Amino acid sequence: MAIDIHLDRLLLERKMTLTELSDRVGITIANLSILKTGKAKAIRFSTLNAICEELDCQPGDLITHRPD
Amino acid sequence: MSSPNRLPAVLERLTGIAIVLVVLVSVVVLVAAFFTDGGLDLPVQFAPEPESHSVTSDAWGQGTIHDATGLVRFEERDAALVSLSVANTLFYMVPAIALLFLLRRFLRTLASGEPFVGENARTLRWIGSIAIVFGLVAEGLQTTMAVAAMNSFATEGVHLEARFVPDLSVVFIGLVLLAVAEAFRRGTDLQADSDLTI
Repeated sequence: MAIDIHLDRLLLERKMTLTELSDRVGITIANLSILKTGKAKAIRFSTLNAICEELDCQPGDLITHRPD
Repeated sequence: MSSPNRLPAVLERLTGIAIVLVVLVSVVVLVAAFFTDGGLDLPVQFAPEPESHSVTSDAWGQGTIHDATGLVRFEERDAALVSLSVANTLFYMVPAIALLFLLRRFLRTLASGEPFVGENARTLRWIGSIAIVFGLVAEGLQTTMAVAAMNSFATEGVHLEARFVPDLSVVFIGLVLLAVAEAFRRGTDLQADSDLTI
């Protein structure tokens, strides 16, 4: 899939761990790992909203499209 | 969230009990065939001679018995008769036990709350296929034995027949299960998508 997830970079910039993000947004570490590693097939708007709220970012900061 | 459905777990336990009972009955029947002196039964298809019986209804008048199936019991046994009787028993018991095992495996995944897994679609396909094959083959075997009986036994008062009438109800159930298996396969795909939706 040509969709890149930049969760690692955003967590590094905000000096936050995956565990902390998981606690704050109420999504399991396992699911966040699936998202981080690009294995997710879809993301709900509610999830995107929760992550962007916590990381103070835009969806475009988290998800980008890489042309093939 | 709805409360968990306990029915699959109950059915799983009942199926487990049924497996034990069927195995026990099979063993008893097989042991009896080998180690007792009683008669042994062979399935036959027959019709009594019209002049040997009478069936009369006040409303519908005279009737005749036909297309009957039953068992003929021979008191004197030899190795061939014992083999036939054992084979006939095994022919029905083995698919029955296999189907019960498959059904129990299916019910176990239902009880676990994860019905849409690839294994369930495969299990349903197996159950459906066994039912279809059995519905056709069992009747074929019965017909073959009926032909053998017609050619081997001398009768008085009845005449032996051989009819091939597949058990269409079992075949129909098998077809329905194959269709349900396809639905489960699609459900498995949807479940996988759902599991990977964050």
